[in-house]
Amino acid sequence: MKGMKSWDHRIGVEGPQYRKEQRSGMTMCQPLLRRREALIGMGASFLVLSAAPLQAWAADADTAEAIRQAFGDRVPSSGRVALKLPALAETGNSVPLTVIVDSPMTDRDHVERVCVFANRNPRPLVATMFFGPKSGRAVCSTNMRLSGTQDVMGIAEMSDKSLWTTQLRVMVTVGACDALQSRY
Amino acid sequence: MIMHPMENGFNVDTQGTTIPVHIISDFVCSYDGAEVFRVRLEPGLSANPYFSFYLTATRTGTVDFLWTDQDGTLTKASALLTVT
Repeated sequence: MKGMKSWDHRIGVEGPQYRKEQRSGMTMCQPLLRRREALIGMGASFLVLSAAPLQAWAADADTAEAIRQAFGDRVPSSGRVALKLPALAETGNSVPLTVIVDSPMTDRDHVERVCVFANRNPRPLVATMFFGPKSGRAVCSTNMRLSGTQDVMGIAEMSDKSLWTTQLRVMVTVGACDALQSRY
Repeated sequence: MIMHPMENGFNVDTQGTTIPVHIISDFVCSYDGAEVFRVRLEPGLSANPYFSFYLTATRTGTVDFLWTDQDGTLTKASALLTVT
C-alpha cells in the first residue's frame, strides 16, 4: 500500500466493500435522508432569500410618506413631466435617467424643482433637482440606483406651485441591493 | 461629475459589517455668481454621480461647480464661459 493516497485506498480496497454495503437494504434510507436534508436546506434558503428583499424594499406607504414630506398633501396632476429610462436595466447600480419638464423656463413661468422617486428603493427619494429661469431648459440627466423592478416617478413643482407627475416602469435584472460586494 | 463612492448604507464589507452612508449631499452650479442649478443628492444615485443640464449663456462669466460632501468637505471646479 506504499505510495497510495487515502482516496486510492478507498477505491482499491474499501471500494467494493462500500459498494456492497450500498446494495444491502440498509442503505435504502440513505437517499431518503438526503432528500429530506435537501428539502430542509431548500426551505431554509427560501426563508433567507425571501427575507432579504423584504428588508431592502420600501412599501407603498414609505413612498407615499416620502412624497408627502416633499410636497405635503397636494395632489399632482398627470403630464408635463417626462422620464427617459431604459425599459430593461441589466444592473440597478447605474440606470441612466433623464428628466424633461415641459416649461417655457421664463422668469414668470419656470420649473422650481423636480423630485424623483423609486417606489421600491429602500429610500424612495432619489434626487431633488432645483431649476431656475436661468436653467434654460428643464432637462437633467444622471444615473440612479434601482433595487429591483419597480415604478420610477417624477414630480415637478412649477413656479406657480402647480404639481405635475409621470410614472414609468423599469425592469431590473440585478438590483442595486443584491451582491454589491463586487461592485468596484 | 465627481469621483465619489456614494455609499448607500446597504453594502457590507468583506467582514460582513455594514458600510455607513457616505454621499455627496449637494451640488450647486452657479453662473456669473448666481445660482443656476442645484441638486439635493440621496443614496439612490449611482457612484461617481454626474449631472448634465442646461444654462442660458447671457454674457462672459465663470461657471462654478460646488459639491458638498455629507461631512462638509467642499469640492470646487470652475470654468470660464466666453460669450461673443
